[in-house]
Amino acid sequence: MSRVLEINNLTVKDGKGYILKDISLSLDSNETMAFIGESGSGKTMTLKAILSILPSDVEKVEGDVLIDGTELYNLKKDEKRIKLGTTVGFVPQNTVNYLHPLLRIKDQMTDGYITFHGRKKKEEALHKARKGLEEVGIKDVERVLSSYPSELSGGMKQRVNIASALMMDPSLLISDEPTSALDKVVQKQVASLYLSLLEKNKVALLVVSHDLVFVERIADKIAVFYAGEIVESGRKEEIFSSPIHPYTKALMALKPSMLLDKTRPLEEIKGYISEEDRNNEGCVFSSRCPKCRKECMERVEERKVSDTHRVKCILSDGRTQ
Amino acid sequence: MKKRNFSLYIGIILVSIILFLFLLSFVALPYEVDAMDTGNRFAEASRDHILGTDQFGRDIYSRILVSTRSALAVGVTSVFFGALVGLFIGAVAALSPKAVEVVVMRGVDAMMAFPGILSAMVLSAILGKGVMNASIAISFFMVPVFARLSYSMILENGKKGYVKAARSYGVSLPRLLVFHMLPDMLTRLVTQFSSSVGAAILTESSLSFLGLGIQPPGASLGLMLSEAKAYVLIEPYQALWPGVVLSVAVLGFSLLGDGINAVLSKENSRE
Repeated sequence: MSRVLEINNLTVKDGKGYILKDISLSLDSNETMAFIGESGSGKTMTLKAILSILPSDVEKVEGDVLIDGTELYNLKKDEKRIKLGTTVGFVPQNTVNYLHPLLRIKDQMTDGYITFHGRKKKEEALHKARKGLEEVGIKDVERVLSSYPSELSGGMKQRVNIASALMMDPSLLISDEPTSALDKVVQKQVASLYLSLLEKNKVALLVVSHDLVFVERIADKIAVFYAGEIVESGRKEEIFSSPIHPYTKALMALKPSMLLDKTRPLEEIKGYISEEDRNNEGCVFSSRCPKCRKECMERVEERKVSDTHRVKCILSDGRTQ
Repeated sequence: MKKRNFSLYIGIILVSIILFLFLLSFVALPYEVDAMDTGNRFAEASRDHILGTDQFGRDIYSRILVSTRSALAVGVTSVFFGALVGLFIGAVAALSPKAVEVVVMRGVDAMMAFPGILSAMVLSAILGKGVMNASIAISFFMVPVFARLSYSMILENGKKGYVKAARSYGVSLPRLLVFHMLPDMLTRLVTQFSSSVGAAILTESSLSFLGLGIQPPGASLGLMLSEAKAYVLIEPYQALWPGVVLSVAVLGFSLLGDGINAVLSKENSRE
């Protein structure tokens, strides 16, 4: 078991202030970590920082990102490309936008491999593509290879993207909202596909998802994001059965359940993440927190609940609950 | 309900007519362009001269056939070279640092600020009359059109997920442009090319009409119209046929461009 990814005190800013603040996490080779939290909370931005594809107006001001023990941001541009290309596979959100509409699947799948290994390896690349497609459960591999993206269904495109991400045998697979934009049936297929991939390949998986049911199935560790910070992190059981942070609690209440009382009004967390929250001295959730007190606006600290469970809330020691 | 692409069909028919006349000018030309028959001036349509003769007794039908040669030659070559230079300039601007980009694109804007026919006239006046110079003048005003097009297409394409992905794994620039971007850009290039040929034919005729393009005794639609205008009150038919053929050519290429655009954008948008 080796450490595939480690992030220490990552802070990212743009012109207006914090985008990510003091993000720390680690992931071992056979683990799965899920990022949860609402839109604009910094989940995707963290992925972008790991892949070193931050937008041009956003800058990393502090912290390090270690992939397989190598600090990414110390590498030269080409070294960084090679490091990322050979160790990290990325399945983007809106996979449809990442398939070239006018190129056959085989041409686009093999292009990256050929770029890394040279034109002579075309056959090898094709072989890898075939193997990858079989691995993601595609039966008529030859037909898919010679199709254009428009000839494939949404679920198929998703599979093709996952297969493409596996082309370079990565040790870390990153997937941004793998089940959004898919119907329930295909969502389930993709979820079980990920589970079987995790069993077969010894890869670490980092997944961003709004789908709490999917997250509960797949994740070992969970990081709860809010306004650019990780407000709570821990093992799946810790987060799902004994959440401490008020935001995590509110989030867990949103999880669909069979025991849902139909007469009760739907749960919601009122308000939204504002610009001020990000640059707040105290707790980032204070403006929406039902338990907020005066001191929450002024200070916040991270506490260790157990070896794996951490929470950023001063009220969460049980005394003030 | 299937919407028929009339632009495409009519465009193809009209352009085929022009191409047919063009081919005919090589295989079945009844008279030489400058063969005068002074005893037979302003002849009406007859078996010998199916569209009659002009003020020097030259066969109008033969002159129209030969005119299509210069129209197509000037139209296609000037657009081709204009597009080549324009695409290159646009690509350079799109891929260069901000400072270069601004300078190049403002230069292109300045070129675009001049009406095409005006800059073509100025250039023809500077370079001198003749087919060659007319072509150069026309290509010159095609440059900014294609420069803008390739510039905006490359910027737009650069934002696409698959292009970003290709960049991230380090595809070489030529491969990025040709393999990843060109297929997407082809639609608009072909469309622009076709309608530009129509515009170029019109400009060539205008230049010849003003005496800056094809020189007598050569034949050009514009030149024929220009010569016919002196007699338009007594012999209106002189101007009719060159006018018709010119309209067919310009309309044909424009409609063809529209039609191709409709077909290809439908192809691209099927998801």
